[in-house]
Formats: sequence, structure tokens, C-alpha cells
Amino acid sequence: MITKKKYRHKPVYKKFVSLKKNVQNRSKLLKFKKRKWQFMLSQLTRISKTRKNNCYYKFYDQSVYQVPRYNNFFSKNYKQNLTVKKSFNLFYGSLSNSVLKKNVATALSRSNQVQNRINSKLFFKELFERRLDVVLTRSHFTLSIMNARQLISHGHVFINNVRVANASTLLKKGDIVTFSKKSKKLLDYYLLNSELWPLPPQYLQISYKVFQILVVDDVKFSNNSSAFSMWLNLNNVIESYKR
Amino acid sequence: MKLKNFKVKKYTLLKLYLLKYQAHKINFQSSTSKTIDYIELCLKQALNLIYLYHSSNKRILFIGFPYIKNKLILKDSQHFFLQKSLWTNGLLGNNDVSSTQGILSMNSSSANKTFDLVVLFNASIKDLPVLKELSSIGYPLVVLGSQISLKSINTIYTVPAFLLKKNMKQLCSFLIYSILRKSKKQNKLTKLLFKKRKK
Repeated sequence: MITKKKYRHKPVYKKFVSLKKNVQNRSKLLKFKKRKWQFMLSQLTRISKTRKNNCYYKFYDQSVYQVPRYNNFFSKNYKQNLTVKKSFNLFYGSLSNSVLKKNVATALSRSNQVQNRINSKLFFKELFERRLDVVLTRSHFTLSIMNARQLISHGHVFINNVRVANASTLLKKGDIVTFSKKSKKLLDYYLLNSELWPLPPQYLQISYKVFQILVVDDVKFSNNSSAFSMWLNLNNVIESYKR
Repeated sequence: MKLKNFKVKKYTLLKLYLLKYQAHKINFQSSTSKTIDYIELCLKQALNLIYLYHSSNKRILFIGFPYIKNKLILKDSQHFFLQKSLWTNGLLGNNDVSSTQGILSMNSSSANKTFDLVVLFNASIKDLPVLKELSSIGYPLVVLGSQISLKSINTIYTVPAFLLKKNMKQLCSFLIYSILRKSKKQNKLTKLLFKKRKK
């Protein structure tokens, strides 16, 4: 007898519970009142209390080498790597394993090609930050990456006046992103409901009047540390997807 | 559907001044191209951000800008102009109020209030402690004109230009004062963008 494997849907917010982090920086999560969320919410408030009082925002520069505060025990190594992988995956809107492996391979090959050997972390970060759905969220035209993917798949987004249906298309320097006329109301709603922080990065020139994004500079060397809400630990991610 | 026509104004004067005072000639080498178009673009981005913060009644700290004799400009705003010589380590980083009150309460009545944005003019090697302190606290930082590479410092917008010449200094200060003089008529967008901001 053939039995179908039952897939149990797990909401996005439930995935944050095991990670103990508000990975996608969603403010809606903080308003949940049911008992099942209480444990996670108490942990999040505890973390926020340990910050300095006069601390305004936190910047996470991903290119810097971080020394851990506590010793990394070998017994906790597996768990740690798993959480790092999961949180990175969720941060960029739950990508498939094959995409991540492919990106790691390209980043490593590119870093080997360059004469002065630039760190593979920069190439890896660039491959994700140049994605169309990520750029739309960074520019506050959409509230989340999943939101952006829906807008793209419905055919509302154009690159250089050509309709694009693939969310993983990489933008280059000089590209112009525009939107269809039908999506104007929706974009207005998204813009008015979004928070200004993190501020849009320097390599994007955005006009909220005409609904247009222009890629001005290379993404690789630009400092967009305000865009990250946590330490991603890119070295661990690259090593785990290397094989 | 009715279409709106937007007029695109092209100001060429700023580019001319940048060329005249050789703003693109910086000592340090870096990968990004420093053409005059790029410098102009960065400047406009930074000025736009300052305007957004000003129009939504946020408090801005300007460091290293020339002293204003005409105080009428800043009559309504809560912004503060700090000279570089008055900077002491831990001015914004320390919780101690007494140290900050002495310097920051010269003009403004509300000295304890935190700033929402910090704008630093012409970053040099001497300003590294200032930059490090500001980035460690986590203030959104805008640097207008930098002579050093700011890779290790978390800034939001940097204008990689040489703005030390006297005339260039004046031009930049005039640009900012013209923004601050504008009335705080809020756009629909700016009103709502700043509504939900959290600390």
C-alpha cells in the first residue's frame, strides 16, 4: 500500500522558537499573547535588557572576525552549527539547500580566482544581497522577503523595462527596478506600514515618488551592517555547505 | 487612469563646484570609483536623509561644522552643532549625565535627550576615536567627506570626497542650513515612516 507522507505545516514564527531569536526582525511577534509564545518572548526581553541603556541600534558587521564570548564546547558544536544554518536560511526567506550549496561553491571559486585572494565571505554575502527579492525588502517597498517573492511571481516587477518572474535574479551596477501600475496601491500600503530602520543601503538610490530603484555601486565592498539584525556567522555557514 | 508628470530638475552647479575645488582628489586608494558623479550622488543621498530626519522633528547632532553666527536659523529645531575641539571621549557613550551637560547644554535646554542622527564633517585620522565611539554605541552615522577609509566603522552614508578647502566647507554648510531653514511640513510618507520606529 502506498501511503502519502503527511506534511505538517509549521508557521514561520514557530521556527523562531527553537532558534531563540527574532530572525526576521518581525514586530508582530512581540504582540502575541497566547501562553505558547511566553517562553520565547521572555527570552527576547531578557536579551534586550542586557544591552546598554544608551545603546541606540546595533550594527552587525559580517566581514569582521568575531571572537566568541564563551568557550565553544565540542559537545555543543553540532547544535550550534545547525542553529547557524537554520537562522541564515530563515533570514533570507527559507532558501533550498541546493541554492545555498551552489552559492557557496561559486563564492569559493571566485575568491580563488582573484590574485590577492579576497575573503570568500564577501563574495558569499554579495550573492545574496544582490538578489531581487532582497533588494526590494532593503528598499522598504515590501515588508518581508516572502512578500517580495509574491510581488515578483505575479509579474509586477521590471528590470530595465523587462518583466522578471524569477526572484533569484542578480542585479548589477546600473540596473533600474520599476513596478507595474497595478501594484501602486499595494506598494503604498507596504511603504506606509514599514519601519524606516534599517535605513536603505548606500548602493541603492531610491525614489519613493516614482517607485524606482537604481543600483549605483558595487555591493561587495559596501558597508551595510545596519541591515542585519544578528550575527550570521558566515564562516560556519560556508563550511557546513561546502560538501 | 490619469498619469502624473514629474519634473526632473537638473542642478549642474553643485557638480561645477565639486570640480572647481577638486573634491575628488583623495589620498587613500580604494576599490570604489570616486568620480564626481558618484560624489554628487552620495552627497544628495546624505542630504536627503538629513532632510527626512529634520522634517519629521528628529534631533540631529552636527559635529565639525563651522559655527553659525545667525542663531535665527535654529530657532525652532532641536539640532545641536558641536565643534571638534570640544569633543571628549565618552561624551555620548557614557551614561554619566554631568559630563555631557557641560558641553551639550550650552544652547539647548534639553541636554539629556539622545540624538537620532549624527552628521560628521570631514573625517580625518584625528577623528578616529569619535568615529569608533559613535559606531560602538550604534548611532546612525553620516560622514560628509572622508580622507580615511572607513571600512571598520559602521556608517550609513559616507561621502568619499576632499572637502577641507575653505570654500568647500562654506558650500556644504550652506547646503545644510538651506535644508534646516525649510519649514517642517511633513509629507505623508515621512509622517508614517517615522511613526512606528522603535528604540
